[in-house]
Amino acid sequence: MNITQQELADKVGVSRQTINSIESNRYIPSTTLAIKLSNLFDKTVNEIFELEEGD
Amino acid sequence: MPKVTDYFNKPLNLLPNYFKKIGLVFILVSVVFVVSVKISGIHLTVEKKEMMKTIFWDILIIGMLFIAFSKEKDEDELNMLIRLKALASAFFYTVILKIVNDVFNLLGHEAFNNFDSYFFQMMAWYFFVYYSAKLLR
Repeated sequence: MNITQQELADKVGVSRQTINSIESNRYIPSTTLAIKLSNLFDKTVNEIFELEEGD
Repeated sequence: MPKVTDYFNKPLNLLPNYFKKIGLVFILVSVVFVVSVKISGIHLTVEKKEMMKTIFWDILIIGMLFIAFSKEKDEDELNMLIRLKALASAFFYTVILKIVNDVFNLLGHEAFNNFDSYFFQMMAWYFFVYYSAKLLR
């Protein structure tokens, strides 16, 4: 999917900075936001996000 | 009737975004008020001066409160997390400030803060932490 951070942010109702923070591993989104993102990409949450060591 | 789950799932009820502008007006009014009194050179009694000071601080603090507790244009969950952390840090800062001030006082030094300035500093600290974290997000 060819989409800018701003477009993605608008679609799920958060700021562009929040999308940027999620992409660069600085912020772990809530379950609600994770599901919204996965729905948008037509994937499951587990396909987009995974646990890191220590989580 | 609000549900119990609303309490946990909605972190904070905030004022609408336009309260940021109202808050800014309050701050400007307080500053203009104090500057115009100083410039005009009106001779005030000690009581009047104290009253003016109280009015100045109250308008200033209400303005800051409006800015701190109103929604951002792009309010979201990360922003709320930043807000709550800044609030916790401001709470902590104020208690430490009070204790440091009291210790100075007990050691015979003059207190460097009055009661009004605690609130001002608390909010100044809140804004510092909040906007720094927003830059780092």
